[in-house]
Amino acid sequence: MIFVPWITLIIMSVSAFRYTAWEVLLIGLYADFVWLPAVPISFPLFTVASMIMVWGFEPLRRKFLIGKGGLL
Amino acid sequence: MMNSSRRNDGRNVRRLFLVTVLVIAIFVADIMSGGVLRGFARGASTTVWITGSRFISAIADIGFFSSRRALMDENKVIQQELEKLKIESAEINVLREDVIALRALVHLGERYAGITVPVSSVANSPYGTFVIAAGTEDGIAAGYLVLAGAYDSSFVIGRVSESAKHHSLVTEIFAPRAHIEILIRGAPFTLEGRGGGNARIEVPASFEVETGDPVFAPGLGGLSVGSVGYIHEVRSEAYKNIFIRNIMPISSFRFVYVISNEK
Repeated sequence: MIFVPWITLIIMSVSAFRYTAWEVLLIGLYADFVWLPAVPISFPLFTVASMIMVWGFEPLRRKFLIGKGGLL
Repeated sequence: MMNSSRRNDGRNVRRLFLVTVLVIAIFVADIMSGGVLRGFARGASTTVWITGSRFISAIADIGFFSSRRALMDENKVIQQELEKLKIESAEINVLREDVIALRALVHLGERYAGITVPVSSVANSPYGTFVIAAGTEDGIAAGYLVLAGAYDSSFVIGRVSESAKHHSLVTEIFAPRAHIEILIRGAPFTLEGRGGGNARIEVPASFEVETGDPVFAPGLGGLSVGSVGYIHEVRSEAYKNIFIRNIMPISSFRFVYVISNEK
């Protein structure tokens, strides 16, 4: 089940929702390695998505969640 | 809290940065190597996938993930199957008993011309009567003899007293207040019915008789009607009572054999 793409995306999203989870990057890389062909070189969607989740949303996360002590 | 280590402090940012660099480095290295690293990743995932699939299939096969609803449905189906099997088993038992009962009458068909008829009422009523499921349409008429058999032996248990189109009323030989002429050890006596498959006769005290002696009825084709069941004797009296009983309880018969009185 975990090898189904959309489940992987959900796991990544949930993991990166509240905190800067570096594991999301590894999950994205792993997903691309499993499904993305090496030749020709293609756009690594999962890896890029994981970077967006952990870096791109970091300002929002800092402002609304972590900066106020999180949801707890 | 368990998430305190996930606070967005500088250390975590550094860790995130290092991991990002590492991911990029691995990705580039994989491209440079022509996909060697992703080959390892796929091999590992394939192994995990196959193992996991087998594991999940094995667990699913034993019903571990069956939902409560699915189990309830399955249970319902199994219970219905069980009820069905119970009914079939009961039917088979009835058929088996019928076969045994009919087999006991086979020899009667070899001796007398008649028909085998199922008993369709509770035998041994207070009136000493019972109903059989055959009537004038089957060639049965009032006065016909009703026989029962136990493999090699046969005996009269009643006489057709009324016959309708599809059923007949049979009066037991030993019905209350019935009187018939009988022979015990060749000596004629008059039997008085007591109901319930029992009858009584009064014989001289000097008459030699033993329990189990057969009782024949000349007026019923000379066939047996029962046997001596009990002898009540008082020394000071000139007579003794002999109690006659059916060879088998009438209530145990599922089928009877009906013949004309002329045999």
